[in-house]
Amino acid sequence: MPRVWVHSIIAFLVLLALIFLSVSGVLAVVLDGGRKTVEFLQIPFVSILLRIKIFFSIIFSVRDLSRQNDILSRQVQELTSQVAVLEKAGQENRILRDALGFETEGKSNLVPAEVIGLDPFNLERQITLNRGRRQGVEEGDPVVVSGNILVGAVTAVFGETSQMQVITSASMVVNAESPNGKATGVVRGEHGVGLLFDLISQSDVIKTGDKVITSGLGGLFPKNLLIGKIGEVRTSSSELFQKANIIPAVDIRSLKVVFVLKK
Amino acid sequence: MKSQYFYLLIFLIIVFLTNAAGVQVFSSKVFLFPELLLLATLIFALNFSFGETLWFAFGVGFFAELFSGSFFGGEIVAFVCTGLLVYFITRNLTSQHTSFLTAVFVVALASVSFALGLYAYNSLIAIFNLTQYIPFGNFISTRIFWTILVNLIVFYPMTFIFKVLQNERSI
Repeated sequence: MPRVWVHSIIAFLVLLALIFLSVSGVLAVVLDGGRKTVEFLQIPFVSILLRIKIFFSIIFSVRDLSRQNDILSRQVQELTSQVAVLEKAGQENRILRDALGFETEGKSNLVPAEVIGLDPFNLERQITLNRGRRQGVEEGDPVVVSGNILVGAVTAVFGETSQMQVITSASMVVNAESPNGKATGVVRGEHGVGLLFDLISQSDVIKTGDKVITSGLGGLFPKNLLIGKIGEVRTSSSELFQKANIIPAVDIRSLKVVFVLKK
Repeated sequence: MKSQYFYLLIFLIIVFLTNAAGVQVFSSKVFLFPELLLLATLIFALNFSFGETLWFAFGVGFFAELFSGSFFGGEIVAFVCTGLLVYFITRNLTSQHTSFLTAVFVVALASVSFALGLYAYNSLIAIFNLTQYIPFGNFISTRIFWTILVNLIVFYPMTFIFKVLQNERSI
């Protein structure tokens, strides 16, 4: 038998064996250890490439800096006044909750995690995190950024690492509503390229720019996590439900640090 | 002979770490970062025998599986298929000498066939309901032209480094 065939057959058999080990979970330990090792070894490489990225981004963005500064200054002023109003409302809310004996929302337990691996080809975006079972991460835990922006959920947990699926993945379905409660439905991922707010009743009122948050129905995700805002509403009288495209609250592709939300 | 494989292993590890770090740092525009592992496989296919190319591509694929979001085996299959395709093309259709046109052809072929290999494997596994089907557009889109261009820019410097390593080895 020619050597070409011998090599090919052996490689095929090794691949089959590895797939079997992967499916049976034996390989998970090796992959977990490999990821942790790579996370440590790639630190200098990340550092060098970050410097290169920053250097080029400064060159390309220097013209826009002044304009961005104006916009951000204005936003800071607006947000400062909003914070003052919300602090006052929050204080009143606490007093009223105490007076009425309402159960206050428990403090969430957040496990910080760094993104250590991305799959550039898989826009379904299985992202590898550097926290696993030993740090208390469990399958199904929601993953957030900036305290309350939902970005995905943990789908696989290993000893020291875990994998999360981002919210734009087609297999993610989240019960959602608009903050004023005027529209409820489900948010689905669209194969890694966007988000769709679906199953909204024709009588519900939604408009471009409305925020979309988790409704907490189903118990998979806690309520009031921000998903994004409505980009375009697709209404048709011939359909039972309205649909709307959602612009995610964060750029899912540039996640660096996330928080696993423990209940 | 042993030192030859030692050098290659070091080369592979450095390329892998740079690639993993690059994907992480340039995650929002990842198509503008060269596919270093693919280029390493390609350069290997140009310079080594069938068996060596196959096992090098297999090893590269296994490393890539660490951060793959697809069902296990996709990266290995894609790297092996691409490596062997380049091997056969450069032995039977074009020359092993990488003139500019050959380089353009081989890099474009490798970039496209790698994405197609991943797509085919994922679709096959999806038939058995072991993973979710990912649309074709996620693998091949107009962005691939950028990827090919960036790969081509990096191809020659990487070949140069590889040749230097080869010469070091043979001394």
